[in-house]
Amino acid sequence: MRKGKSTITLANVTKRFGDFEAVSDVTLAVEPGQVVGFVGPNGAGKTTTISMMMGFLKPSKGTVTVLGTNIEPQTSHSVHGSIGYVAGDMVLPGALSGRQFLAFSAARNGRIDERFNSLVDKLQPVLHKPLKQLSRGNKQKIALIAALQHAPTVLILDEPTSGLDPLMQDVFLDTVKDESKRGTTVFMSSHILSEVSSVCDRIVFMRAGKFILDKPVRELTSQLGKHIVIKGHDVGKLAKFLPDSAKLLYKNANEIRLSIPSANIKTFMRWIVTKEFDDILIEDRDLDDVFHELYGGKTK
Amino acid sequence: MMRTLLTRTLYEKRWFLAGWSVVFAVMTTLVLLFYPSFSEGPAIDELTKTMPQQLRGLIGDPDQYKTIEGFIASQIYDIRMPLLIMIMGLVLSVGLTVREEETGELRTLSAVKLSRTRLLVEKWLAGSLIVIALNLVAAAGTYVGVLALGEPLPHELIWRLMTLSSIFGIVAFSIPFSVGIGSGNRAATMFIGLVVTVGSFLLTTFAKAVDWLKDWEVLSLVHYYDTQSLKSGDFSQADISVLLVVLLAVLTFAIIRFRSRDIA
Repeated sequence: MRKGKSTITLANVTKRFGDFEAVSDVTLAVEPGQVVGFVGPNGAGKTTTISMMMGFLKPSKGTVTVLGTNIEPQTSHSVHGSIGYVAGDMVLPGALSGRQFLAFSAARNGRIDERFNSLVDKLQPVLHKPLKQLSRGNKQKIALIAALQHAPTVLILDEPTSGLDPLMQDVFLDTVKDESKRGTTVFMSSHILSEVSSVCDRIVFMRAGKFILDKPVRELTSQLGKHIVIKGHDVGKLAKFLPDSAKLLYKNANEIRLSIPSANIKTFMRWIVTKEFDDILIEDRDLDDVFHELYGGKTK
Repeated sequence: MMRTLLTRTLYEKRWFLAGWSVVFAVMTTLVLLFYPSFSEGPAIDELTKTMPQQLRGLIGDPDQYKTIEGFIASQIYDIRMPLLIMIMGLVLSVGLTVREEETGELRTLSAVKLSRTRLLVEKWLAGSLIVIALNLVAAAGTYVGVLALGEPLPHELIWRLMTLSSIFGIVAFSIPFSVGIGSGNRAATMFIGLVVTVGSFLLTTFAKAVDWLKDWEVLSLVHYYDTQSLKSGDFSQADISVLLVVLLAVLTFAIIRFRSRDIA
């Protein structure tokens, strides 16, 4: 039952575990071909949201739709053949070899031989050993091949690179980028913002069960502006007189840190050169700064 | 080999099956090696004369130990087989259900194109085939033991006992399996599995000697596993019907619950 053109929709979805509300009335639409980064600290509700998309959990309220199918535990299997799913903490059956596990996945979801061979060539997985004997990275390679060998329409990734070494992370993200070029819709949760900004074209921030920011990555990065550190004797008093466009992030007597939109940087520079200070450091802000601002941590 | 969850589960459980096969084969063969001591010695005759009626209720009629048919029915299939099969069924059902959910393997399995009902049925079929395989091993062990003793082979009785034990074993396995897959709760699975196993044995054993327990004995699963009547007659249709009704009820509960519940 096709409900609209969006690949994934969440409509006023809530998930409660007893008295605890893990996800609170969230709404989202992911369009075909979009690569969405899903960001938030531990306990924000990311895995719970993804678990409802996969049909592992039933929403307490609202509806989840993937590829036009209303996702419930008893119906989700009907779209699993079009979804590739990888989680960072995914547990593979230890008694099977990689080849056996992939054969089982292929029997259920399908396999395109040419694609399977190219994934094996690219990722070089260990196929003959029991999965319980493999390292985390090698298990993730098997999980990724299982998720991609049937050329899924949607890729749902739940912190897929957690625990992987940087080299393996790069291989993993390259593979995801290849998928997005193919037109696959990707929904990827992560708290590694560099990987989100390198792979995704849209980013959704989640905090305490709610979506608090949902923007295209390009728009977000263009609005990030600059991060400025001013040092000098008694510069702390300048904080009172900052231009409206500047946002004070930190101050003490001899140092202030602030952020400012790129569009206002010239005005700010004209203002600051009239003041006394010893040193000034100006750098581009990145998604880590947004993350820290949204979640109340320190900026770098 | 890996095309279905049924064959995959059987492959994953191959060492479990091998280990329990040794237990069942050794148990049946070993028990039969004691048959000459029971059938030939005068002690059993003495026991028969002096045993109080209440004790006879607990350990059964000593006369039955004097024929190979009676010995097989009472010493292998009346006590040891149901107890072993219930313990094995509990271990197997926990392994197939709550252990996989606790480790996260059930989520991985639920991410493929496989309906919850089919997932449950294929796992249950795999468990039931393991129960049947172990009963075949026990029957083979019985054959080996009887041949070693040079006694005539009671083919029909062995196959009847094996069939009844298989049906009983499937039901005994299905109860904790259904609780495990229906709830995902290890404590509930272990509790109900142990209550059914231990409770059934205590009820059936003591009901023979304790009058007030007699009315409650119908609650024991072992009550519907009557090996003694198989020696002389056919299967009790009433007993088989009760076992099948229990099986149907627990599987229906499991399917309804598992289709709609959250997977941890």
